[in-house]
Amino acid sequence: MSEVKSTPERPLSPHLQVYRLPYNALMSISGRGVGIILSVVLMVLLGGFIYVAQNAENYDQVMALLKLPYVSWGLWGLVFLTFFYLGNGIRHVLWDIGIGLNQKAGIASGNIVLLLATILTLVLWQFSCGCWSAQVRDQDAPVQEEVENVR
Amino acid sequence: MSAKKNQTIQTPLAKAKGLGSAHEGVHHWLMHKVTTLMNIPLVAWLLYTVFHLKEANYTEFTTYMAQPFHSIAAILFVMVTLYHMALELQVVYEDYISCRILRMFKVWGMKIFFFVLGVATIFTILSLGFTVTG
Repeated sequence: MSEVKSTPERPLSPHLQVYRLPYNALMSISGRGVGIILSVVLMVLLGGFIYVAQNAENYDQVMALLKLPYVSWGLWGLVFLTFFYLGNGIRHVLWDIGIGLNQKAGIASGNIVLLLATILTLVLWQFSCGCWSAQVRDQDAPVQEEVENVR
Repeated sequence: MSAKKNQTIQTPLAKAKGLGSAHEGVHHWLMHKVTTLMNIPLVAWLLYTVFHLKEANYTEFTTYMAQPFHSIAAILFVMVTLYHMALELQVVYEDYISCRILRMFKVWGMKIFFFVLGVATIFTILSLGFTVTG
């Protein structure tokens, strides 16, 4: 690559400081932002996997952590971000093939990605019988069962 | 023509060299797209695994991970996602870090770290797979 002499004051490549953010630009930069978030998450995931695989004590420790209500809600957020990022990636592949390369189609496909990510997250939520925080409620469930047995 | 004017010892070839295409980047782009597509089934596997194991205990977890199908899927997931991530983050660094030296160390550091993390994770997966349980 040829080195162009640049001063640090110049705006950098995606020109966040220079341009306003219309819908497609906002989708683009949030795709990148989500990518960065997910890469940090992946590092934590792999580190966590290594930790958890060592022995049962570590495993139970992490499982207890994951079942905390706020953590489980955070995990659902990550599921949504994963679907969003995957959809966005497919959108980019289609663009590179040459499909949907105009402003209208860009807005449409962006909406499809957001909608699909939301739907898939909700479907998964439904399939997992509520959510992880429902398990916290389930810990109280035996009491209800006992009540029913008495009846 | 201009050489006469400028009275320079540099040949026109020397001036032109290094100003053209880098002849790399297509591979970067292609691998990024290939790993994107490979990630569709692999992320599906990850989500299945997470939801399948969400109430599992340690023994259930290790026996699940020790099954060849899941071991292989896990190793593929680690390799493909880390590769994809390295390609993605390299672009981010190149876009936002204007200092050449800092950028170089960031990209190299990241790639070395991902190598280490990847090998450590794959080793763990294999050790679960090859451990005789029960």
